[in-house]
Amino acid sequence: MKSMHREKDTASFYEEVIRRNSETVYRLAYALVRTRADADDIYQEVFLRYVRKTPAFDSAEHEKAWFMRVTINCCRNFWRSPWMQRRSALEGDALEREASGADMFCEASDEDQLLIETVKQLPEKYRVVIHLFYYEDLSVEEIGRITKSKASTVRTRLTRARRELKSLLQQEGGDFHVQGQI
Amino acid sequence: MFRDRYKNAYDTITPPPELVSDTICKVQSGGGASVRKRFAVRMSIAAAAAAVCLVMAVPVCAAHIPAFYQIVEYISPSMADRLVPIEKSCTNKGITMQVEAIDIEGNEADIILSLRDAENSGQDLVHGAMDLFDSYGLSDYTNDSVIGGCCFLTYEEAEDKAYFQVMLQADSAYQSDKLQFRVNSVLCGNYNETKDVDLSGTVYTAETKTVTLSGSGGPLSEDMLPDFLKKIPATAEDPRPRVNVLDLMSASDCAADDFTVMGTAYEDGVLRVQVCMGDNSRSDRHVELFLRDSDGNEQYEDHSVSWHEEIGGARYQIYEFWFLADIADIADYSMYGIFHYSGELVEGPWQVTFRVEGD
Repeated sequence: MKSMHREKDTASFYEEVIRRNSETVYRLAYALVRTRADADDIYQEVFLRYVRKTPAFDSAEHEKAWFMRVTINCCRNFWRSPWMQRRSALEGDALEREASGADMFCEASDEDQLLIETVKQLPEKYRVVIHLFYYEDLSVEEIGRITKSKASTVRTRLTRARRELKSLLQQEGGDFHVQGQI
Repeated sequence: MFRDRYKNAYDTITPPPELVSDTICKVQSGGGASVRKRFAVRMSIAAAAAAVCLVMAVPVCAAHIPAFYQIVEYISPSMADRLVPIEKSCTNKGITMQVEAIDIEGNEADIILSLRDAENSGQDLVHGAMDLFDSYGLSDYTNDSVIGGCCFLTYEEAEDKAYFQVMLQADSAYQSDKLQFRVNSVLCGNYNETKDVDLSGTVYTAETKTVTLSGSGGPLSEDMLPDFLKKIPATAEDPRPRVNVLDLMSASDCAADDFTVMGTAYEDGVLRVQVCMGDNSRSDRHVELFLRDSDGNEQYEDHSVSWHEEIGGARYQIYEFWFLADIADIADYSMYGIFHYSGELVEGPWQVTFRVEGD
């Protein structure tokens, strides 16, 4: 892929990379930061970081894993940013309101919205494993490599996340059955 | 099937076309600067950027003003004046460590150093707060640092560099004609989460056990603690300090690489909160707890003690936090903690040999 970089015009090469990883980055960012505006910020930050670091990838899987890893890193930076900490402290429930209702995607059905909103209530570490496992179809070991955690930790988080999600969904009146073979 | 439902729901989430095109434009036009609109408002960086603009507008200034000067200038102008540029680096394990500058006087040294992902390493290890894991030192021919401290200054996004200030002291004066600075390992990707600690399970009487202390601290000195919390006097047979702590949950039921709140108890005017950090031998998990009353008044721990318990081949670190408070009903109180997680431990070493010119 590095040689491809040399051969192609840099601008179109970047565009290809962005388009190739666009949805993966955005969905993961949205799953972690909870509002569209914040996901927009994370999205741009991830691709700018790509340009700054210009990493060389061995394969398409390596490239995708790098983008998922960097998206998680950017989200963590976002959570610990002074602005976010201040916002969390000051706004509290208001942030939750921002994360719901008007923030939803118009294509999503009521059932989809309920699921997305419920997942948002999980702690960040659970949202990461849930998204990578159920959306990206990654194994526990692959999630461990991306989140820099032991497979046993991922397994535990997934189990706890499922338990918590199931309970939340029951409270919300959903009829989902959160199951899965790890 | 839940997987299908989850995928269907998240399939509806796609980046707005204008965001994609805007990002492509920014990236194609260089895109070095951050576009984040509302977060990461770091005053030090803003000040540094402003200073860079001022410097660039005055051509009579030196052509090469290292970025670290702007950062140090903001923190301590007097220190910036004393620093001697070194700018020597070492790359290992995909990370480049650079000794940016040093201020050395007698047996004391202040070093500004930076870490960044090595070019084309394909890694994203350096992207925010980091830690040198207490594994640094400065030596000359005959002399090695004996005590030191380290402070993470900032992560400079445009350069992709994490800056640190390391303060070191040796037994005798450093010889500045051949110095070697080394870092053995770094913790990457540190972050913290603020989370509530559930007090609803607080018990009012609890069994205790005696443990051998590995550390203690807090604003309240030991002599101000109630007698039952004071250290057990050392004996000739066992000179190590010991203390009585809650015996609520076995460490073997705690996570090895995460926090576990082991239990809370309120007895004799003291709220005791026990938290296991897991195996901290390759990480630096720690937590700060805050007790909040119904009026919103917050109280930091009065004292804490820590000890280790062997679980299998691992050594779990456990803390018990003590809050001296007159609590009539625990339901009137809440607690939250800032849980500091450390990321990946990368073992070097990185070492740079240099001399201080014009000393």
